[in-house]
Amino acid sequence: MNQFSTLKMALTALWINKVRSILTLLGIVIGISAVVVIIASGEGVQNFVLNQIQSFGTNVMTVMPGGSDDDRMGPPAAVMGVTVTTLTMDDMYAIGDPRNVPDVLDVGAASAATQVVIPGIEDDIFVALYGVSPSYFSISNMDLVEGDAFTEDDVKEISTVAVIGDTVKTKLFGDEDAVGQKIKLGNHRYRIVGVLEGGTTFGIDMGKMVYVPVTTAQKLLLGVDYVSEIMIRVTSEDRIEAARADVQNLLRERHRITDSKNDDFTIRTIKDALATIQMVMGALTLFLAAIAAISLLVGGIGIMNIMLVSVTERTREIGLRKAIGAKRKDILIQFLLEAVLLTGIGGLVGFIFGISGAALTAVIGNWSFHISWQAIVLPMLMTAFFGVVFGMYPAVRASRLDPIAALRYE
Amino acid sequence: MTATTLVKLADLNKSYGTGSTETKVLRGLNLNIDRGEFVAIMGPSGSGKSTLMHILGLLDRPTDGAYYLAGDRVDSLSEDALASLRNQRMGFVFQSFNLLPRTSALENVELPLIYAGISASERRTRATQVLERIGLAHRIHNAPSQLSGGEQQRVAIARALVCNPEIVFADEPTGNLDTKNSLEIMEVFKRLNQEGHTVVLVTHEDDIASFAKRIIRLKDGVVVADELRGDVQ
Repeated sequence: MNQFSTLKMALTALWINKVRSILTLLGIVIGISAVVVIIASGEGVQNFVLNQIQSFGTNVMTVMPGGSDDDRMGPPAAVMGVTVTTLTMDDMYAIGDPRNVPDVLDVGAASAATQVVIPGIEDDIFVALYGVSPSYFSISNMDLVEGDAFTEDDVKEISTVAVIGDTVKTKLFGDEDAVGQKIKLGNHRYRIVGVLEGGTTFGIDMGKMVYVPVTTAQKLLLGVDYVSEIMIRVTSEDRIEAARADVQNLLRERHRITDSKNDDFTIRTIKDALATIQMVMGALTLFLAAIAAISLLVGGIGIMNIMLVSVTERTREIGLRKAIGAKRKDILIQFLLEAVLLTGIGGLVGFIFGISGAALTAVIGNWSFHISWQAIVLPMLMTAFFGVVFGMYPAVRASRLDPIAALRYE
Repeated sequence: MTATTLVKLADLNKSYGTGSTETKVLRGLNLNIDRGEFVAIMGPSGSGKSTLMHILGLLDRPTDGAYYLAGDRVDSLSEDALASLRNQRMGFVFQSFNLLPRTSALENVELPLIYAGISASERRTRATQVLERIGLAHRIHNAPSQLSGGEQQRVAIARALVCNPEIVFADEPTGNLDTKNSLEIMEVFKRLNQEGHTVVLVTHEDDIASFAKRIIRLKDGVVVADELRGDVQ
């Protein structure tokens, strides 16, 4: 019996029961599209996040106040809402000294961020105020579109100068030059020295930021003498572990720590962040894919169910086919092919839906749409697997029917 | 065994169940059917006539005894070999037609040719020829639901003939038809027999059996009468 005839026979059988076939397909369509959307979107989000992180540069590391339980993965105390006051400007200057850490290229500090309302911005947009040292801009790859960053002298002299984001600039001054203008932050008026390029990072509008010298933020706005972050750029990516060790030893010495368990600071490199994010995103994607796979399993059981109904309904047909010469194998292949066609068509439609869904999510989430071979091959394998697995039992049952019993079946 | 012997049963027994529940359906049957015969198997229900036809049609196996088809022993062949023999050398017509629903007459007739591995174009040609021969040329694209009972049974006969079998088995072929259609169908079988086909018919109606040239009567699994009829209608 030739393969084309079998295929045509199976397609005809599915066509005769259109509504039932379509409803059965639906289970597979939903399952496969869920799997595809989750895998593809998971990858899209992951790439998006990784690109954002990598845009900071891979030769950058950050010192945050407070220790963390875990060597590299656990969050530092500062992130957990505990205020740790041990990290200071002097620590930053010590790290910046090449006699202490030879691989350091640049170092900058930042105070805690706070939110201010600026008079003159009617719709009350929250502006984040950040005290930083000038090198913060270069380490973070931030570009100025107007004027210049404030200087180390401004930091030393606690000057009332500010660098503003372009959203703030547009709100306050429109098309006019902002450099040289004054802005009131807290109780003081600040001279604007530069305007930063806008854009978003992790969904935060960078144009809504206002930066002042870190010392100014400490003394005039926050009333504290510690910093919340020290950013370090080292000479190259492969020197980062050496620099990490140097910084660690330096800070332990300065903070009189003998046991690493008592560290009151945490050093994070971009690599650590990448590893953490990849791990979290990977686990999340896997978890969601597992849930989607369960829906696929339910769809597969639906196929098996319908195929069993079909075998029972067509008992006489099977008997007749056997009587006129169909071999066990012919019946087996016919019913298996019906099941595989059902899952195959369902898989294909689900795949198209899934890809469209993933593309749509990418457009909405504003990340680049990317389909890896896993997102294509995995659902295909799953479909083929489910088709054969769930089609096999009904097909074997059909093929084993006794022709006489089948012909007598009412 | 003469050269014209098509079917030979030797000491054939068929029973269902084992031990105390064993039911003997056919007991020590010996039977010869020659090529070109038109045989009617008759008997009351439970006589074993359907079982006999199933065994003759290779749809069922005897418990013991031997079955020779054209000289070759076939009772212990594999299931696949039996399927091939049914496909190549036998045709079946059933009481309830057993046509595939929502499938045209032509496609129903083509079905045995599919299992014979015949190409699509040759299938079409051969199925059309047989349907024309049976007088259904104008109905080839109709589904069973658009055909009368008599027409449906003609399609079934065409399906039985399309592989050009040596022997055609008909199990109560007129059981679902009215008198007029019954007689028409029997005329078809009679004509097939005249054209050289061997026909084995199972029936419990005397006027249907009267179309056959030989009547075998069964009772409780034994042949009680086996008569040749000279005065065929």
